Amino acid sequence: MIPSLLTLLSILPVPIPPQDVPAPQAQAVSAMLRGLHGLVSQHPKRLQIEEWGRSRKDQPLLVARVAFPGEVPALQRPALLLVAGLDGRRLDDSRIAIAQLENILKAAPESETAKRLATSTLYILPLANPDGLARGIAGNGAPYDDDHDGREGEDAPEDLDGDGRALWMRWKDAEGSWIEDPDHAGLMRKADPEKNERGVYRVEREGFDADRDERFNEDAPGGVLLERNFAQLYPEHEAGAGRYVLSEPESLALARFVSKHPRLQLVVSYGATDNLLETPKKNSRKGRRAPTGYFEQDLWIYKQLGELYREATGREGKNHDEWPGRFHSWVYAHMGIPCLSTSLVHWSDKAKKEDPDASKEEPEKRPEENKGPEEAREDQAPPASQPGTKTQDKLKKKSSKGSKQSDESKQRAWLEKHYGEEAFLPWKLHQFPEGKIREIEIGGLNEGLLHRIPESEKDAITTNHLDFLLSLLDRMPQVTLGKVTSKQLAPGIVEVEALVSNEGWLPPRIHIATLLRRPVLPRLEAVLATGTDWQPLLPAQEARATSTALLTGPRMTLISDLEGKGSHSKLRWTFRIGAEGQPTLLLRIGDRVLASRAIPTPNAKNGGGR
Amino acid sequence: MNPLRHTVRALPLLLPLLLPAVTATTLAAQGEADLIAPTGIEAMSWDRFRDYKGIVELMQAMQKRWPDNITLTPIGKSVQGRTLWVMTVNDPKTGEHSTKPAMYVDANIHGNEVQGAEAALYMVWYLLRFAPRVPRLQKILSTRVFYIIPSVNPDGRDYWFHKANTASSSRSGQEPVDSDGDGLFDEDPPNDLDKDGHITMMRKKVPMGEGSFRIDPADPRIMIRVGRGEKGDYNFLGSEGIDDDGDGRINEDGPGGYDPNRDWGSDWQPGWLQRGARPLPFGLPESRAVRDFLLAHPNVAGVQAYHNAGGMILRGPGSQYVKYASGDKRPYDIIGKKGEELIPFYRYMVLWDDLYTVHGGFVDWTYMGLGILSFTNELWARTRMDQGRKKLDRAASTKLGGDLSFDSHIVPWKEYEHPLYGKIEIGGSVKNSGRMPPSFLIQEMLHRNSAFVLYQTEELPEVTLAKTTVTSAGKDLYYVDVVLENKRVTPTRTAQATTKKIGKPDFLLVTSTTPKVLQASRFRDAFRKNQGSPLPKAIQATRIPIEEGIPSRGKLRIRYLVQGKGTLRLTYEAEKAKNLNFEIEIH
Repeated sequence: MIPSLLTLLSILPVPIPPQDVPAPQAQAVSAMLRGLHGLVSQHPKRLQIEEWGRSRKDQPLLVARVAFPGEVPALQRPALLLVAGLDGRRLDDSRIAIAQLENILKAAPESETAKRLATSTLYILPLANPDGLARGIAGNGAPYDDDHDGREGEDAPEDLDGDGRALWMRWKDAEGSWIEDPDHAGLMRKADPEKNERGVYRVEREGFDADRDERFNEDAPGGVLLERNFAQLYPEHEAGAGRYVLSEPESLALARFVSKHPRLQLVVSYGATDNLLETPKKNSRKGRRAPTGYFEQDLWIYKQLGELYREATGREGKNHDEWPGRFHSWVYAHMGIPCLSTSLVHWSDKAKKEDPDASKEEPEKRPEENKGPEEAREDQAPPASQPGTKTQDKLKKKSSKGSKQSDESKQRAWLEKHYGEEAFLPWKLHQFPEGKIREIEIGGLNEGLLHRIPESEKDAITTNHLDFLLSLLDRMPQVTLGKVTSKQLAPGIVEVEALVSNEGWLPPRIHIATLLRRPVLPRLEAVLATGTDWQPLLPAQEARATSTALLTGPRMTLISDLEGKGSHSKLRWTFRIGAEGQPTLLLRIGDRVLASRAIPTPNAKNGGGR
Repeated sequence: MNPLRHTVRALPLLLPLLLPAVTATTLAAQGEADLIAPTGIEAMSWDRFRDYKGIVELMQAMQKRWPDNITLTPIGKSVQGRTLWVMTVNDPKTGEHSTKPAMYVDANIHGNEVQGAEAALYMVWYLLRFAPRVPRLQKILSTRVFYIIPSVNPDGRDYWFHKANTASSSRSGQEPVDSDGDGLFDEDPPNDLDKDGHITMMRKKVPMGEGSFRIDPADPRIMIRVGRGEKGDYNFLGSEGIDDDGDGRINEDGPGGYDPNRDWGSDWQPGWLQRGARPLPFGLPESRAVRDFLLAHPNVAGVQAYHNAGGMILRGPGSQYVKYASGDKRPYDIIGKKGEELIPFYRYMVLWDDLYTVHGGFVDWTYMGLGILSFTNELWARTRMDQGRKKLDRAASTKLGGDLSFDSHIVPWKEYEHPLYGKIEIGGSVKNSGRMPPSFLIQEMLHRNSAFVLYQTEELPEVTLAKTTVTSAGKDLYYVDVVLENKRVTPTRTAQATTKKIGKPDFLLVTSTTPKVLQASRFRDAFRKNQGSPLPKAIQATRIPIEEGIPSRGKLRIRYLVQGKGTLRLTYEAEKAKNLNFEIEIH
């Protein structure tokens, strides 16, 4: 199969805005940041705004902490984090995250939402890449020398015809390798020598060869792709990956936020990847190597939450679950927290019925899952300068496996359905103002729209994804100190048994988390209550002969064996009851007490909580 | 005063100091040695190690003695707020430091591995002291630059100096870590139970046959592991300590608890794959300060990061699956094998293959991330105690050490009532023994390692003009051939930098406007000058990027086609070599 321009369009970063920051996007970002602070004044008991860093352009990286009044302080509750806007082309993701936040804050006191958020905490980072969002570029705009010529960002696409878009330009050239697709008017594809076709056109991004190196627009000021900058399978030295892992203030702030919140149990990311539409791929590596996918023992979580997602949103389709340097793979593989990633823009399943070409195509499996850094780089690399370069060669290889056509058709159909004439701009003649080229035609697919959510879908997406998000709060682990029973073995000698249970759905630690030893585990301690304080309960050999002491059993036990809902752990001790102090069991996480229970004295009922 | 309070005088202190020799015969053999007794800092002895304050004072004293050549610059703070100082060593008469190839030397990334700081500073002291009368040293000083960070883990250094420790505790810095995963930080450290200022060992006598050790009948200080069929009456219980947090384990969550040499961003892996890794790469302020310094100094072309013990000259890769660019093996091997010559008992080794796997190690990052040839010397080689005459087992080595140090490195066993184990004995080696040389061997160790680092420094890239020729190509047209040479072992761009496009490529620039340069091509040798294809149109002939630089002991050959006569001015520009400006007359 011959790669078409649509193929190329579908995998390249979108539209390059003019060099200067486009005012509407920048204004929208500023307004959203201001709006977050405004929400606090409206909901002071439910919302706090925390600043976790500043972007390269000194924009604040704001996290909204939503915790409704409840018995347990916000920091001690199991928590869920929602991240949006790592990809600067997806401003609509940020808008939806904020709309969801506003919706949540308005919840009635007795509503399900309010009840959920009285026992758990929701963090929302809606504008994870404010500089990129303000400019509509995938990266964060950091200085970057894409073509390695010693100069940074010196050859960006331009809007030559002044129509507000930087699309594509074509001109007839003896060395051209592209033709207009006879089956799709206006669309360009590579000529196929096997069909005796000969290339007629050169196709490039719209713009000058600003650095006079005979390559067009190969070094745009796109910056570092934050979704290449995280530490899991970090694609060091690959295009857009940054100078080093976590080199960007935005990715570093987010990584620090996650690592500094030990009660985070789930993360959701709105972006370009997806691991919910299908059960994602499991790790294929053996032994002690960085995993390339999810451990088999953790797949059930993704499988079940994927079902929940599909039910809540009515979506179907295929995963797009890339790993190298991605935020969601890092959250799972380095933080031990399930991270659900989803693309709010969704063109695949609906187009299936509408596009006649799609039905002719063999359903294909996307090859992108867990591919290596070299392949991954191509997907979001800055525009290839010339058709026939490595990118096209790779595409050809992919296309020859028949892997892309159906997606392209779906994308085009979806764009035309939602954007009509804006989806594809007809080629228009334009005088090229410099060099040997005299005339060009400018036009092509307006693929930037693939990152925008159609107005008609925004409300539904906001609502059904909010339903999904809130339903996740019901699945947090909830470790409780259950029944405590005691039996007198001899005068003053008591045997005690306690039950610690997980009343939540998620285990406190999923499989990979047990390897990582995070998030922090609850622990049960046997202590001596003295007035309002607790003292260590000494083992008999260290205690005075008349003191309350521990005869058998550990002073402290990490509760490491709890799994999903209903699993429990039984612990036993023997105490010598002395004259002073009340032996007590404390269930703690870190230095926070989750529950306490006085040991029932012989012939007495169980003590109450404290 | 407790001598451990400010300095550690490595044991024993009984032998004469090995200052430069004093006899005329020796002077003749060692051209740099003094005829007249030196004074001031030049007379200082190198037979001991210093705490952080002592190191900073020494740096300041050196800067005061050689103010033209030494600059001290703070680059950041440690976890506990100690300043990280960089000592820049340069000859300003020959240019700004940033214009010359630089050797970066640091040490003490592991808190207990203190001796590298003295090794780094000894080299500077030796260089500046003797350069005025030793031409080879003078050339190094005038053409190269050094960036020295004697301690990249000053918190760990002072923790080791001023707290009870073993020779191996603690590699970490001092940021609290929940090492045992119970949500508490540093709550179960080793305990100096007998309050003697050392963390030694605990042993317990058990009925004969229940132990794994017995006392050496020839030397009661030494414990021998019993063999199959033998009976023992002692068991070791680990380092001195109690179960502070009541979890049934002893000393499992001491101060810090991470490994700063697993914090670097190339092939970094989380804790379950790499013990000692922090939650995030570059997670420590010390690492970030060093990282930012190196990124801001692209002229660094060689790295030495001193460690403590083993007698090794190590290079990466740290992992089997990481492949170093094959083109860099030769320069690595030349430098490493030279090290084996200069430092007896040292072996040139590849980390993962000859020692163990390291993910996220410093020298892996400086090579993989920055494209710099990087080494780690493990300084103390125990074999030096017997000078390689015979290979001693551990017991014999301990005995020899005892005889040479008059048993000052041993804390005799004494009884102690332990809260968990009952009656035990505490004793063993002190911290400043075993993993560092005794005082009488310190200076030689420092000197030989400095000679190795100075060798690597000499072999940093140096671009010279090997040959130019001008030949007629017809009316008013000329071929101008330029051959540039790097006689040094280190390439101007390593294969790693080339393949991964790290840093800026070198450039050959034509800075004059006449005569007009029409085209440029590369040629292989003098016999095939016209066979090289013109450089791609995308490359301007007046600004040729040389992505692969000039190789180790190699040449670069460029042919220009120019029109007209006059003076052609050119510059070879390289991040890791001094720029070379030259002119070619065409007449």
